[in-house]
Amino acid sequence: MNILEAKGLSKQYKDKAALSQLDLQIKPGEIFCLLGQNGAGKTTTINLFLGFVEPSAGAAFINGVDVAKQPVQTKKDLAYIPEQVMLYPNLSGRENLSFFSQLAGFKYAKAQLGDLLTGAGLQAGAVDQRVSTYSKGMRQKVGIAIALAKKAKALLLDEPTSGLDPKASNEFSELLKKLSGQGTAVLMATHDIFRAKEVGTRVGIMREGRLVTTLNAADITASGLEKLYLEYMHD
Amino acid sequence: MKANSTVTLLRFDWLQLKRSHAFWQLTALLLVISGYAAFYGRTEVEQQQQKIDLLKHDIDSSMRVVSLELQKRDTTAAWHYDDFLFSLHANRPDGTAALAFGQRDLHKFAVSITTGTYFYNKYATGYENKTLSGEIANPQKQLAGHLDTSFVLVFLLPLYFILISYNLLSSEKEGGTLLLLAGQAVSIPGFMLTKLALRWLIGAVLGTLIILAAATITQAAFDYRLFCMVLATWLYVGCWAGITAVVTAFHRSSGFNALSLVSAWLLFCLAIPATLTALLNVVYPVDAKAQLTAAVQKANARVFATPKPLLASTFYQQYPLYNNIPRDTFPNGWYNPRWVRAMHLLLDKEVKPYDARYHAQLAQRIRSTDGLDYCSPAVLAQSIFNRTAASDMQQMLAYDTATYHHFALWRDYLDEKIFLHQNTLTKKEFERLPQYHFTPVIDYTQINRRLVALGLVTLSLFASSYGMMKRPLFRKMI
Amino acid sequence: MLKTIALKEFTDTLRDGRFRVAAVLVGALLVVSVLVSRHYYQTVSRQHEQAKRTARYQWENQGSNNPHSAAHYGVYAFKPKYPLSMLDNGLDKYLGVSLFLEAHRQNESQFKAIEDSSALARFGELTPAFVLIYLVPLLIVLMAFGAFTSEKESGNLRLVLSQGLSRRTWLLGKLAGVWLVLLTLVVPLFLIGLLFLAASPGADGGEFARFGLLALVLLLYFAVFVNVSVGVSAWAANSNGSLVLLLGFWMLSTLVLPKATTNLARRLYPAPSALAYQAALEKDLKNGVDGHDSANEFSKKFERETLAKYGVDSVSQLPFNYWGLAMQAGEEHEEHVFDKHTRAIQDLYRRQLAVHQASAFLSPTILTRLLSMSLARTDLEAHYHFQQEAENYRIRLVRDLNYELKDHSKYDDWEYQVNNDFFRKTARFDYQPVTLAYTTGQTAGKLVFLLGWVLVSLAGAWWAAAKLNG
Repeated sequence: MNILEAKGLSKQYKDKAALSQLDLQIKPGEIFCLLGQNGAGKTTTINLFLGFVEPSAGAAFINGVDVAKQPVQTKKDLAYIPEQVMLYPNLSGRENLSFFSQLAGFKYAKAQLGDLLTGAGLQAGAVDQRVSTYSKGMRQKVGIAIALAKKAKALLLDEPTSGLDPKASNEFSELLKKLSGQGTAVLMATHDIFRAKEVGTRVGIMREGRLVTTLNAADITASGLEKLYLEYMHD
Repeated sequence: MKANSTVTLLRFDWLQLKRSHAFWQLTALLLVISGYAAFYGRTEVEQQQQKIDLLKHDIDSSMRVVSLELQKRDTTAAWHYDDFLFSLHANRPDGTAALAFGQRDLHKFAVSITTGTYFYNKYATGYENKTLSGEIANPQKQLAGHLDTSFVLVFLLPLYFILISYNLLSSEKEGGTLLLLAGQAVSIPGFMLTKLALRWLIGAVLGTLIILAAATITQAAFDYRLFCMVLATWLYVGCWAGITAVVTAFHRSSGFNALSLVSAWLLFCLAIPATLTALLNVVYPVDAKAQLTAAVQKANARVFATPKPLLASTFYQQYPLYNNIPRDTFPNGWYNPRWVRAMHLLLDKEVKPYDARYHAQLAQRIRSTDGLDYCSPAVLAQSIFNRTAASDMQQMLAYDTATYHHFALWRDYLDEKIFLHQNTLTKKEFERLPQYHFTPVIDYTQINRRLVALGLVTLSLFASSYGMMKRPLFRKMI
Repeated sequence: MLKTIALKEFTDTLRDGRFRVAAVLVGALLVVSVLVSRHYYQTVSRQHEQAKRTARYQWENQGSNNPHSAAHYGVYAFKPKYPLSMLDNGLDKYLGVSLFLEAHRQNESQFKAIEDSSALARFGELTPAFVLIYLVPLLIVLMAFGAFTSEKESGNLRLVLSQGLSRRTWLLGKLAGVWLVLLTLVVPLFLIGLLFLAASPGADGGEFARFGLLALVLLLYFAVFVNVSVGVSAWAANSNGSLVLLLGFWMLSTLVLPKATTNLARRLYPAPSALAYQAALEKDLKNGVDGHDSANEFSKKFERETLAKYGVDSVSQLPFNYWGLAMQAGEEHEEHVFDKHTRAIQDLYRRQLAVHQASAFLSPTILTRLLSMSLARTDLEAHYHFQQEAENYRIRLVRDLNYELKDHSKYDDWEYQVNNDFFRKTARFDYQPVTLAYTTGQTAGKLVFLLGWVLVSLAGAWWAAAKLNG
């Protein structure tokens, strides 16, 4: 059973194909990393799974349900962390988390919310401060907590570690591995080749809207992957 | 699950509003102005009530003179040269009128009815019977208009609503939170409508509070009329919520929303009514009044100058009923009651058709204006408030018509004594002098029609905004 | 440098679709208002001319009449409408237009147009003044609320300041930019107004001077809004805050304060009730000669004095008709009483207006509206002037009629009559309206006040701009 699946998924803007004929299956416990330059179609892929844009052809499925047909229903099964997590500045980190997890249908006790936040790496002292005082990295951690709290079958990540310091990035990788161990399917768009190799089950390289190659992370070294990537980028 | 997420949205939206300084500052400003407005209305009502009481006191004391005289002599002259026999005719404002003072400041509200010429007193002179021609009021204040509760509700409450709602979705977009939200199993149209519902609720509750507080301050009755005002406020805020929904559905920036909504406010609250007023002057001029005043002057001069025997024969021809004295040519002397009464009756009779023409023209104009209420929700709401407060133009006209009826009753009663009973008034007849109380009859059909119209406008605005929101919208948003 | 900034702002605003829509709307409203006002002015002027002629015709053709009866018959005076009332009809609808002039009493003006209107009229009336005084400031706010906040939000502020541009030059550039747009919009409209004025019969040099002054007043008023808007934009943290603040200022200045302060004025200087006013008037009237009541003690005293003056024993021996003299003596007493009471009310209203005007330090709109009404001669003072002139005419006419009775009829000859030839020769009411000099005397203080607003708001903007920081 595939949690995330794309069948001939395409997105055409006026004169430009943002995504062409993407076929992709991600099973429970798999972490699929999408590599590629800006504009290669990584974010478009994620937006299509989120239902933010409608496909020109093909379809994206979450847990077997067509996203374009049931955009609200399918979101119950997925969690999403954008490149820049923006939160309500007048609410504290805990309140933001409480809000979003209640929207997802989970009512956590106050202590649980705190644990989720510290678990995502937020300092305990910042939990009840207003988000307006947070740094970018702190907001990103709240975003991670929001995603974790949802206990979703699929996790969509768009450059999730941008703005995180190396230590936090490393902790995040550990978290992802843990989630994958629990059976979550992960689709992550990233620029970070080394991180992709480290956490990914599979790695896909995209160029000009096409998924040009897919390989098992275990089959290649990080430097091998980098070399391959540069080869594809070089015309 | 669905209901649950709605409750969550409401709770956290309210939490955020609660923490916004601007929200509380605006609310405080609105409440301060509302408080002022309530006291303004109360003052206006009290002033008119005091003036009515003063007039009543004046009338009572002069009637007491006659009453005392009748204790001694049992009969008196029916005609006292307009000095002693009066009847109060008042359009007494109540507490509800304080909420929407409407046209009351421009029209008569207390008249002391007496025998005399009705039209000459009414149209020719201001001084002769000041109580008949109006009150002493600075025109500059009349021009500025009222700062009463209805002004707060019709003009300021929508602005308040706009300021707390214009960025309800655009701020999520601009603040970036929309991205996370869109990743949740929440429908964005539903999300927007929930937020709008909360703001509508805040506006409606605030409006209700303003009305109830004002009603308490002005001692208005807590009755169906007050309920009509509350309902009108809910629907009126609903209209503005609908307009906001449509503007929000365009998914543009906060700046765009603010400009569009302020423009809508300007259009509905100022530009449309002002344009209609200007056009009305062109389409329905009231020129019969000029002819009326000229007619009064002419009739007055003519009856005044007609030699008494000639006047008598003309008069008895027109009023044969009063001709019970053979060949009465009115004996000489200024203060001859029959002659003066005949003069006044003839004058009024001559002017009546002119007055009728003026009133017909006015009624036509008012009827045509009626339909214009539907051109703007603001005018509709103001019209509902004025009508429920009995401060509308129709009510002023009704009072004016009633004044003439009251006068005619009084005149006919006394004229009968003057002409047929040798100008004597017995104690019993004095006690049976006609009484007349003007009570405004509120036309609830008109009010209900307007309430329904407000409701329909609200519904259609929401329906069209929902239709707009259903289109694929996130292309621009993300 | 300044020119560069101003031109950039100018083109920026002109290219803004929102501004174009708003400008077209305001322009269209202004054109409609001018056309409608002009139509109304022409209709009313025609009606007045006609009514004036009819009134005089009636007076001259009343037939043979006793001179004093003719004084009771009376005559109507009509307040003229001035071309500039097309721009601002001020209090015209709230004041009567016709005045009935008769013996013994000073009447109030009648025929208030507002009494014939429904609640719709209280929303305001579309006149050029309405557009210029209420709507154009809003347009200015919409043009300028983001002048600096948009630079802050886009991060341009740091960039521009790092170019070494002085904050004050920048401010001046922004102000000039807004002015360029504003003038592009209003100068053609002023010119169109001037054309309309030139095409109106009855527009003389004074009227053009008034128009010029009115244009000056409006430009000063706009300057206040430009300064405040750009200043607030420099001070506010973001565009939303700036917009909310400026809208609040606009609303208070145009809607709330004019209402609140006229009400406050009335509370400070309450008017007597009509009943009390009438009672006081009647009391004073009784304390004097009454031409119709020779038994009155003052009338008796006057009779005694007259007899002593002429050294005769009875009024029938006087060389003239005593009743004519007595009527005039009564008239003079009544004139004096009416004058006193009318003045009391007028002074009361003036004090109320002074309170209203004093609150203009919070609302430039109050000042501008008062100025524009004065210049258009649709204010209280112009009305009082008309009332006073009509009263002077009434006094003269009634005196002429009483003296006719006194000098040309015999004592107790109540049948004495004059004919139409006599009435044709009686004085006409040739009203000379308020002069420009009078108006400028009245308005100089307000103009200085408004100038103060311009300077203070400019200083505020200056201060806010100096504090601008990336």
